[in-house]
Amino acid sequence: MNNFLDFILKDIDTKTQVLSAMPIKTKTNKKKYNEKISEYQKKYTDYKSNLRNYLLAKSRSFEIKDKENVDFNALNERVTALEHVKFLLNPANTYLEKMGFDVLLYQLSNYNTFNFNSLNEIINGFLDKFALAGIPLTKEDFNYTCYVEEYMASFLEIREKKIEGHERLANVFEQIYWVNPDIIEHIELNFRKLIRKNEKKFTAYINDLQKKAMADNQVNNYMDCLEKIQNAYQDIHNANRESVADIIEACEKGEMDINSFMQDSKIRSSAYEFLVPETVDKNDVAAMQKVCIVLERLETNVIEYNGYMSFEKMIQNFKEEYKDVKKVELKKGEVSGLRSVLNKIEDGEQELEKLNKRIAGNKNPFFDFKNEMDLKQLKSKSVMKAKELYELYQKYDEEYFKDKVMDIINPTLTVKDVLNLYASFDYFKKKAIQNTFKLTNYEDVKRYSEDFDKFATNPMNVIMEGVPVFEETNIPKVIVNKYRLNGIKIDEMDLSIDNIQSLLNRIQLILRIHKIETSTLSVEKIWFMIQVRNLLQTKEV
Amino acid sequence: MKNEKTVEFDLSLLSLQELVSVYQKVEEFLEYLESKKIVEEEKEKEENE
Repeated sequence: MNNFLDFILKDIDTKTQVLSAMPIKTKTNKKKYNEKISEYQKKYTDYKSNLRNYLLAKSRSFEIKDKENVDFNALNERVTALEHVKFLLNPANTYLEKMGFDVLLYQLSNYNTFNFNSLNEIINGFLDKFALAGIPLTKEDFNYTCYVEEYMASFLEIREKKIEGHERLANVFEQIYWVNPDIIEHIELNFRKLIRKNEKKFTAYINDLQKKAMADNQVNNYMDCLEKIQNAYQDIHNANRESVADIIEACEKGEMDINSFMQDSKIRSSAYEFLVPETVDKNDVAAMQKVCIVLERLETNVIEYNGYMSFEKMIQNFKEEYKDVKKVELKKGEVSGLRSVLNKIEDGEQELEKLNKRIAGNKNPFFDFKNEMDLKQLKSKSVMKAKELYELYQKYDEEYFKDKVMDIINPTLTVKDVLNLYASFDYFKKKAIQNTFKLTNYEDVKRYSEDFDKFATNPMNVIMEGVPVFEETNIPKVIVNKYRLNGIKIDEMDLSIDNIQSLLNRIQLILRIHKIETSTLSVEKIWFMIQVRNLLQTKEV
Repeated sequence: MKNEKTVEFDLSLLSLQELVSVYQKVEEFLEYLESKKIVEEEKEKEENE
């Protein structure tokens, strides 16, 4: 007998019979019985030790080097730098978005809904951005209403002296709040006015930033930047490509089940049956290589479609809202909807300024004394005017975005265009997300927004570029038809929300098996490594 | 059968699945042996009770 497994099976059987036949009635019997057990134990402990050493050595002989030394930091830094240049050069938006004011305005205008931790952090965010652009704001800049003036005077004093004044500010805020609960709206209005007033300075500041960023990153223009980003993403994609070492690690961690990779696995055979054309010999490496190239493309398309499904409702809402919007050619003397609202805002702000001057005059002890009632009425009028202005600014926002929509609208507008539009206007993207998904928590809005940007700006997307927004397109059908040409028999139901993950799992299983089988290892060797690791509990013995 | 002490096996002749299987069998048998050991004192106690 030269097979150790056969020997062990037979030997165990024999030894079990010997033990069961031994008498154990008397003390002597028992002693002999235990001595026999000890003898067997010694022998089998030796076997175990030798086997353990052999298994470990064998398993270690299969270990492969981890990924080549790729400088992921450098690749990521390159993408981050180029994304920043793209952000600055984005032709779709203005200084308002490039300065990041839209992000802060969204926070401020939703302060009450989301209960942000600190109003003061948002205000500091605005002040920092102004300072960056060389516009140091002083208390004289905060005169939208007497309430803003009062709060911001304390705020700026504490900020300038860099003293701890959280409690003092909280008291000031509370005092104002009970007289005027719209104080946060007034602060927002004041910043909106200041941002508009300083448009030229911000634009010049952005221009400088653009020049510097382009020079630093050897970018010639926006299109050049997009091309460079595409290449940088491709580099990261290649470097991140799953290696056999990654698969082994995932199996060791229990994130993948190596048993499903095995020849006799039902999961494996069903995946092959489902996705590999019948005419292909699954053991023919060259033929499978061709199938895997197609499956890799299918995987990319399925991932893209899966991402689209998460935001499809948002696109549908966009479609509903803007389906009747048309580019308007203005006649002589006509003003756009946006300009019209802006004129009203400017008029309203002038009126409010006059009211504020009268309020300030009333407060001055050297001024002609007017009674308390006058002051109260003036303040009340100013609050009402501010409310009107706040509503006008909301109208302005609608017109502002509608204006941007009109810039791009056409019957063949694609999903990609809408994704780009929302990715360029954070304020409106977050509002759309908030409304579409009925979110009541800012962290959720932020998370959705980040996921949206990741999807919308993915340069690997190809399907979205060809899907028209204003026409009914059955994307699953488009995908299915494309791959039927390659002999892959998926149907539209496989791309439904309930089945898409299962489809992805099957594609990835076949791709992984192919990757393993075309490496120096095999599925069985990896299975063995995992078994040894589990049997011996730890890798380092 | 030859004397066990002198028997040497070439483990490289086993497939990977057989290697894992033989290790599991050896481990299981060791556990079985341990469970079969008669602990005298305890047995006596049980008898007295």
